[in-house]
Amino acid sequence: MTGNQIITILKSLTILVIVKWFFVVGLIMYSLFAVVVIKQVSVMSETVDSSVNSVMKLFSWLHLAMAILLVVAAIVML
Amino acid sequence: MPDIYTSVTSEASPKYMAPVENAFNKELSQSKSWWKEVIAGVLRGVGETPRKARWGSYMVLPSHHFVTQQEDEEVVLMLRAHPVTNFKWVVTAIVMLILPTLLENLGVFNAIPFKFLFIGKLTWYLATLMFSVEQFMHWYYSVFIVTNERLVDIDFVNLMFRVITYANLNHIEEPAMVTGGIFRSLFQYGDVFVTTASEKPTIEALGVPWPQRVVDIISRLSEELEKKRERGE
Repeated sequence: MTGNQIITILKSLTILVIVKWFFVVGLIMYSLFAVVVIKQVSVMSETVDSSVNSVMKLFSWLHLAMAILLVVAAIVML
Repeated sequence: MPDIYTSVTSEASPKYMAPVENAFNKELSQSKSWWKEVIAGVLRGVGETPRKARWGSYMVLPSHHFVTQQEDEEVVLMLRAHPVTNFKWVVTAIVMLILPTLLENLGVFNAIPFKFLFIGKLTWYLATLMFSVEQFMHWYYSVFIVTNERLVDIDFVNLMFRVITYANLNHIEEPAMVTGGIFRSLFQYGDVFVTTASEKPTIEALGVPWPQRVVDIISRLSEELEKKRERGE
């Protein structure tokens, strides 16, 4: 990358673009948290057998799906 | 094939293995039936019947099993904090839900472009949902279990940490309970503390319904176990 190209990129940066990438990075971190939640829900489910366990597992996967969708939406829409 | 192989498989296994297994099973079933009688007697003594009350926070002889439960172990009580203890986080979740709309109506977000506001709101609602579910799971999976052999306290400090504490019923001191205050008196819940001789001196069940009954059941079960030990069984 030449010096001119770096200057062009820096000139195109606006506050909104910076905010957009803050959003994206934040949402990626949130998605990683959602992966941890899936693991944790499965550990919690092992503790006591109950009909709620399958609902919780389903929710944790839906939560991850929604988090990933939000990352995509943030990249596309913002 | 040499004789040694055929003789071992055809004669030894059915002849010598079966009686050992039967004796073990017999002992196990005798122990189980003895315990069933004891548990029934204890529950009769405190006026309890198998039931599920207070949204599953007080279960007598539940069909649920828990991690590390042994084969001859029977769950007598499974307790959670009283549902009313969830009041605080439910109110917080409701406030979190209405906050974006409220701030929007006050014009706080006027300078923010719509698409940023849209993604921001979606993220906020997802986080609110996760907060609610995490709080629910914390309540639901933090249980205090009384079995015929021991007390099991399973606590989830947060999504990352699980603490399980055990105390054998024959190693416990006299259990105690604490209750008081308007909410606790009104909804009949309180804390149960059981002192043990182990490194962690106290095992506790916080905010459980009808603590006096819980203490009564633990005392009676412990007493029965002590009697059994005195008889040398």
